[in-house]
Amino acid sequence: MLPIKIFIRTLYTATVLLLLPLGACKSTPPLIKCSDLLGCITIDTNQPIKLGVLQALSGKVAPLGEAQVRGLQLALDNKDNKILSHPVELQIEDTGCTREGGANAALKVIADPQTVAIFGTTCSEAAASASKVMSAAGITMISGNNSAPFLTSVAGEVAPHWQLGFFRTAANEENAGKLAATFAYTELGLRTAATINDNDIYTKGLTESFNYTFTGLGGEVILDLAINKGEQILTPTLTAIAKAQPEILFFPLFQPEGNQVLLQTRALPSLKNIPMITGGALIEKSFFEDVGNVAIGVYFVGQAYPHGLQAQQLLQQYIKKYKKDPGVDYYLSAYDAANLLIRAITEATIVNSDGTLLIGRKAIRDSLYSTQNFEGVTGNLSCDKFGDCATPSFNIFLLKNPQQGITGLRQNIVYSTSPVLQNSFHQQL
Amino acid sequence: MIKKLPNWHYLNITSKSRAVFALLVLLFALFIITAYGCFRFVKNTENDIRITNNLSQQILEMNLGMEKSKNLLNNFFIHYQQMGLEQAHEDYAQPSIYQISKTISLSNEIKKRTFKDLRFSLNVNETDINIFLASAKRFAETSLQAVVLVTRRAAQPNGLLEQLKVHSEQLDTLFSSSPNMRELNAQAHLFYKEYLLTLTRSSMQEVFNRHQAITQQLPNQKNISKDAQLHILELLQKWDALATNLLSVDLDLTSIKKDFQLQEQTVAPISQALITEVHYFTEQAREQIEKAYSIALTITAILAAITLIVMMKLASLLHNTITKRILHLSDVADQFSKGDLFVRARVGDHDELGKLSEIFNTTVFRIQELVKNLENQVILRTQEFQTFKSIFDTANYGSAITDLKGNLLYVNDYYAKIHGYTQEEINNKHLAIFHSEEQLAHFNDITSSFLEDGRFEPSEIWHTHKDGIAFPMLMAGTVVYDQHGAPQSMAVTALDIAEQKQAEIEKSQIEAQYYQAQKMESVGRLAGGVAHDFNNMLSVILGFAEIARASAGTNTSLQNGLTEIINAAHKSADLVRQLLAFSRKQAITPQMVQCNTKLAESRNMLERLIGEDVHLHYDLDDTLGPVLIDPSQFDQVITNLVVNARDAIQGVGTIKISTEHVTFAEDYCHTHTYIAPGKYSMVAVEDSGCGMSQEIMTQIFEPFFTTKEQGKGTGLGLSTVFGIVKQNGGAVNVYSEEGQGTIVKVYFPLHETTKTGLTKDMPTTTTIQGTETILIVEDETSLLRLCSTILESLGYTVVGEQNPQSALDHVKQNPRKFDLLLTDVIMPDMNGNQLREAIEEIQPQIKTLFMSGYTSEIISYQGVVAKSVNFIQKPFSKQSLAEKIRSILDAR
Repeated sequence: MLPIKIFIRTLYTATVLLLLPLGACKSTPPLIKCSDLLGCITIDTNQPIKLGVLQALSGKVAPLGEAQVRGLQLALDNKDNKILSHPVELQIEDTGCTREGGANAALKVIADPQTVAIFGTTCSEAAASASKVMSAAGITMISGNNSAPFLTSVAGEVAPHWQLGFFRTAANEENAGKLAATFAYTELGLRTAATINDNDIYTKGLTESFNYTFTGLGGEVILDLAINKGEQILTPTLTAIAKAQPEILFFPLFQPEGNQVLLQTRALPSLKNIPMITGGALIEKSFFEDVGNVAIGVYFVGQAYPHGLQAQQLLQQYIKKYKKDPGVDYYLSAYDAANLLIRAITEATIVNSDGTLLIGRKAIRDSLYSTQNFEGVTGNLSCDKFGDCATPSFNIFLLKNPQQGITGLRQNIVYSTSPVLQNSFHQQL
Repeated sequence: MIKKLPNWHYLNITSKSRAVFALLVLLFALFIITAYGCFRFVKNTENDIRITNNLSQQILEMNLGMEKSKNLLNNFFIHYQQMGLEQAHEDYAQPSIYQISKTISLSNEIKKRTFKDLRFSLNVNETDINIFLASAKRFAETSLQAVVLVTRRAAQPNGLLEQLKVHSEQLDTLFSSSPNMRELNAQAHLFYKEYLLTLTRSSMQEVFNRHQAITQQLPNQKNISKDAQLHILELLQKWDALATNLLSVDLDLTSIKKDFQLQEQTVAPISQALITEVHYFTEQAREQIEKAYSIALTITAILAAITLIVMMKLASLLHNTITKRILHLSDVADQFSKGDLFVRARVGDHDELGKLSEIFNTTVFRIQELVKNLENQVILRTQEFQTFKSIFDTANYGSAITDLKGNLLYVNDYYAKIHGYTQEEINNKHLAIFHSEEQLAHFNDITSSFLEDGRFEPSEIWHTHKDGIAFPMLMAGTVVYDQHGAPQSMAVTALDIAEQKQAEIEKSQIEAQYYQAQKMESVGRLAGGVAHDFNNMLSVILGFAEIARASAGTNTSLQNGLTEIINAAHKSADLVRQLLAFSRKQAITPQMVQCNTKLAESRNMLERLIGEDVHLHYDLDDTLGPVLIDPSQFDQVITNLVVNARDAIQGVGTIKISTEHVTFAEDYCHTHTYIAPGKYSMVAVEDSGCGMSQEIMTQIFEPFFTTKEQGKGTGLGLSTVFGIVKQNGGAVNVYSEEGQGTIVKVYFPLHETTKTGLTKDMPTTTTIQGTETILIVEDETSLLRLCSTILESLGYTVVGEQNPQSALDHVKQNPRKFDLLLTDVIMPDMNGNQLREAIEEIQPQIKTLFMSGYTSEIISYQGVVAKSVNFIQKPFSKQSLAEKIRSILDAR
């Protein structure tokens, strides 16, 4: 009988030895399961948090996209490039500032299931298509540059391209069109106007807002023209304007079309002195450098520049990091957008017992929608149900000296939504 | 708790076998489990490969579907204007939508797959699949939009293009009456055509500008009615609205085309990557299956090797613990059976074999102890046997063991050697070989009585040597009986007593020689003593007779009488000299003598001496060396021997004188004590005479013994020879048989020095007279008076003293008075030499002349007087004394 005992003992010993490592494991609390309606992104302990970045990084509008990316980088720098101790990995895609570019870039970003949210876009046209893709995927997207009214709301109603999960810290420029029309009609006393858009929802939204307000004030928009992005031959359009002889031309275009419109308009004798108002998209250093003194006398409608301490500190941080002045002011709203997004991700995250992060997609949106009085560099931010988080505040600037750049322009406020500034303007007049 | 496993070495064989069997079963189970694991691994791998292949196929189909869809849509855009929208829709748009929906479906399927479940690396990025799916969906969406837009643009009859065409035709008709308007309208139409070709918005803006111009100029056209103008304005507005709509559609289509391009840019690399990955799938699948088989094969091989090793180990274990030990035990037992009592079995484990080994070892140990005791006894016995055998073999006597018939069973070396045989030669031979026919009968008698008596008392038995020579043996023996008392063999001991007997003979001879020598010595001393006194007396007789004769004058009768006295005295002196020669007291003057020369010189004298009837024959050895001898003595010896030889020959005969160089070894001299070892010159005198008996031979050297007739011999011939030869260190040997003649061999020691002569040359004395003063010391009064008379007669001044002390006193009183001391040698109180020494102390220059009847050891050694000693033999004549004294005194 002895061998059988030996055999059994041998097997027993082997089994014990095999099970020893398992027994050595500590019991851990159960992991929290995802209960988010849109699902969760699980970030392992050694994995980064991925953010999709959709910006216009090519062509004339590239400085705008670059300012957005830098605003994001500055915000991340202040967080040691980490969210909840996880490094942040950016998937940066170029939208080309077009609708199809935005859609395809968004597709690339959301294709990665680990993408937590999207930071973008630069151009509203791209945002319209991208936000559609984003929203369908349950992702959240926030922009520091999109200002087209059609993306959120127009006249207090949901805009045609509104998408759930889209947020922005750039002010809805529905008010910019209004301010420009009011300024043209009431301050300049002009009664006929022509507008040019490029069929982009941003430019189209501004011209429509202008047309609506200007017409409402009693003026006449005798021409509401459109050009196609990329088209260089503007003679037929300007010929039509010249023949129509409007008193003012409102052309809230991007570069390079805006540049061409300005240059070719001023080249025509009949339009040489026509007052021209453009949008914030051309408040950009490269535009001044491109058109030079031709731009003298052009009015710009754009966001009011913040004058708080945070903005000053951020400017210094920008200069220190990138060794030059910012070409546009939208890095400020980009910085705010980034901080809002970081906060929302942080609030939407559950840190599991094993160190993994469980980030709820809907929780991010909910966090953003519930944002109230978030102290940003551009002011207090409170997000409404349409995704607008910035308080609209626009000025009309008169370009007197292109060499003074944006700083010089920012100092020549001729009309403002702010009563204080408006009074000051009147005093100057 | 697991108790400590029992030690393997303490398990019994059954338990060990069971344990090994259990391990083998465990090993087999392990093999089965591992084989099953390998099978499962291969199966799973195959499943993965199948899934992968399926996925690859789907990806390829997805790519292909996407590509087909795009191509179809492109064809739709290209061909719808030529072939008609409806047909193009049917041929291209619908299949494109079908393809893209299929692609989307495939994409969804692929997306639902869990790539993580695959066992091998599949580099299909989930994100890529998502992008592909999203792109497909977007393509479907945008392609549908495009179709809608194209439909809006080109559908008949309500498409934008068709409506614009209709309106343009109507406008053409309405402007036919106005060239100016017709021109503007034609320009607008051209710009419209340009737009359709270039789709540039500025072209359409030109159209709008022309229409604006027409609108502005229309009221001024007289040839166009108002109604027509209104209709034209309506048509222009419609046309512009349609154109604006077309611009929007075209813008959207352009955007969609750009979208397609972007989609293409996005999807193309993904498609390419997927296709590449598909190809990689296939390759990887092949590698995986090969790897799976390889792993399975390797695991199986390793397991087989492990199994083999374990089995070998187990076999080795069994072999080492059971088989090897059995073999070891067998070997040990075999070695034990071959007599190795020191062998021990390794006990090893404490099983049955271990116990068996212990029992074996204990048994072997006991047997070893027994054998050891036995061996000790055997060794003891063997040592005893060897001792006895050694004694037996090395004994200085012969031992032999025979059977009862006399056949030799064993003989020792001595026994064999004394018979001239080796042991091997005589083993198993019969004792008869040691007996001659004459001895055999006696041997048989002895053997019979030996067996009867059971012992054989020591007896002298004569055996025959191998070479046929009989020799005496002292033999004793005993019969050896077995344990039943039956005679078994005979054991004899034998001692070769030939040498013993010879030694006894030689001993008796030596004893005889000794006795003879003693006798001769006694006789010699007797003769010497007599001769001394005789000489003194003869000296007186002779001296005074000569003095008297000289004084007789002319009285003839007196002179004759005195002459007879003198002659008789001389004869007496000769006799005394011979006696002195025999007694070796004769004063001699040895010289180196060549015997052959001497013999040759004396041949004539000898031939005259032996007469004519006897022939003298010489046989001389030319190599003969010189001898040291007084020549007169040599002559005396030869003469005496030849005379004896002549006297032995009755009538005619032969005397042979031969010489020979002879060397006597020490061995020879041991048994011939009369001569010392060394080289000799032998002179033999052989005669053909009557010879003599042994009895006579024992007396021949005695003085005055003679077999000659009365008056023929003095009986001192051979005695003188004997004395002379002995005095000169030689020997005499006589061989004689009655009737056969006699040989007398005289041996003189060879003198090997080259010096010749010992005789001091004395100055020739012409005058015998002198005037010097001579002190004479002689205890014999008559002789003292004679010497004084003679010397005084010669003119010397003589002082005579009868005892040495008075002579010494006299010298002391008168130093430097005496020229010569003439003294007897043997005197009471002080001998002559002592006196000389004493006087020389007082008067060193004094010369001394000794006078004596024989040579005393006082002044000589064995009769030889040293050259420095002056000596005169008594009796002496007046003349010889006078000459002697004169020569001494004259000597410087």
